[in-house]
Amino acid sequence: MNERFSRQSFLGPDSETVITRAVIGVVGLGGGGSHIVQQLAHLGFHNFVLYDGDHVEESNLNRLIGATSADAVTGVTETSKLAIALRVIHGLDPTAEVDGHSVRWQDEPGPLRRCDLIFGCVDSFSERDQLEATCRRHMIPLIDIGLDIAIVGDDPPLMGGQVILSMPGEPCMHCLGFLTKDLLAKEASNYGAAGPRPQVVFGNGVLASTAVAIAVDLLTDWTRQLRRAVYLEYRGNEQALRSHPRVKDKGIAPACPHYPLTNVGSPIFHRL
Amino acid sequence: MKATVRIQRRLLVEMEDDLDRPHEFAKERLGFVLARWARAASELVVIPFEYISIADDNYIDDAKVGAKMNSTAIRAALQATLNSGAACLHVHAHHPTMPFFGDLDLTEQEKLMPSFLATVPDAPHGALLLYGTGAVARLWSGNGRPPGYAERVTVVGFPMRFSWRSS
Amino acid sequence: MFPKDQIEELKHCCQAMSACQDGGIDYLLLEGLALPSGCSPARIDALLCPTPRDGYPSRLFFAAQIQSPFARNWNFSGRICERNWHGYSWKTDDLRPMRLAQLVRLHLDGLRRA
Repeated sequence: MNERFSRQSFLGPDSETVITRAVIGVVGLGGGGSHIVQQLAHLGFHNFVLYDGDHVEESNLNRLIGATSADAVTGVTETSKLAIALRVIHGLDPTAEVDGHSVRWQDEPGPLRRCDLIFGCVDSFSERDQLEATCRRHMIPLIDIGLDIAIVGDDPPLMGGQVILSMPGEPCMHCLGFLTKDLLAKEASNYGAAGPRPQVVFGNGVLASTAVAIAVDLLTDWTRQLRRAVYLEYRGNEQALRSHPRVKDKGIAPACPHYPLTNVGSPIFHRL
Repeated sequence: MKATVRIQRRLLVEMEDDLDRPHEFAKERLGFVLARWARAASELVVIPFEYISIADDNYIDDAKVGAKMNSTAIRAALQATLNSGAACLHVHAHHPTMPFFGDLDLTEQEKLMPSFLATVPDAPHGALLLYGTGAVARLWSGNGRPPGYAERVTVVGFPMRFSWRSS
Repeated sequence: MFPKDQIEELKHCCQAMSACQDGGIDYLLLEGLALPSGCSPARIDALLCPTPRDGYPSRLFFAAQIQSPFARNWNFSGRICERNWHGYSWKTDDLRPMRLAQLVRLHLDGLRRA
């Protein structure tokens, strides 16, 4: 075993092979995605497909892992969030294969389909819905994270979030009740109205670390306990992460009706 | 072209359960699985979605081979391929100590594939071998080029399982 | 997936039609749909979702944002059936069941009316 992996040999005899050969996608390299990229790089993941079209701004520095104040200087060449991710990864493994795209994934979707697992670190329910649909079509497990901080009048702000493992064949985000028609409708009606959203590094860190833990378990099966979809609810005000009550109460259907196994690969258009 | 085959675990279990059933005279069982595909940059992703079991009556009693299917079985698979416009992979299983296609397997594949390629020419038809702890797939691209092995066969589900073609 | 007679009614307005399913929703692809005069381009691929989606009773998506006589609020840009689509906000209060051709006309009305 490579000395680099010696402290994580508990992940199993095949873990080094899996970690170095798996292709990992990260969509969104902001507060959540940058944490995830850093952890994956430390773990020794070697093959990445990354997407983010944004550049670093001053307001990102409170949470963008790997970014420095020099990256947020305006008036000179802007640093992309992709460049930050590349710097973090190559700083730990100069030979890492990074297929990076400084655009929305929808504009260059081909490389994403190569992935063995994808982290979704996107900003909206609609984006999650689209990403899950493409992951299901291409039989790729998706781990979604999201942090939300709501300002509620004079009460303390409410920090919440989620980590969801959407496994093809198992309950999807619609089955789990996280994505609903009402939420998507409400978001569509507010399109363009949302301003900068509150975000903070420690909330993102909890979610990102949990997501990476789930990913490593999924890929190496080191706990031999991960046997069902995951929907974890983060209650930031209590520093607590727990299985969402909806998962326990619902008696989830064993197979997802929204994404049947027959709807895989390139879509079939039936001529009429 | 590099290719990956991704099999949902429920489908894998269905295939393994069927291939594991004893037969009156055949030493092993055979099957077919329909698959869809997609381009992934310069690679190909092949995703099986429907297993076709071969009925007991469609085996030929031939002691020289582990199993032999008759023309009815092949025609049924071809018809399913035509109806669905999908790729079709011939499936069988080996013991984990034999994680590769044997000479006879390879010969039979060469005989079988032209019919499938003629039925749906642009589909990556081929063969899938399950060997307990992993799987290997051989795919035809249908443009006259020789077949190639999928770089990896991944079982997607709980737990995930990766079978990489040795680099 | 879609009634044959309603498909026949639509054939004159586009160059080809096909049906697709994504995320449990049925869509109708209208290739080369003719757009109202004053729009650019004159024809474009469109994707009809005749069932409720995103809070709309139905939606018509287009392969690109359309230049139309009146400005529209283009509030959807995303992926459906492995293609990128754009949609503008448009619905009426008429909630009577409509035939597919009526739905398409309804949504195209949004490109010709203020």
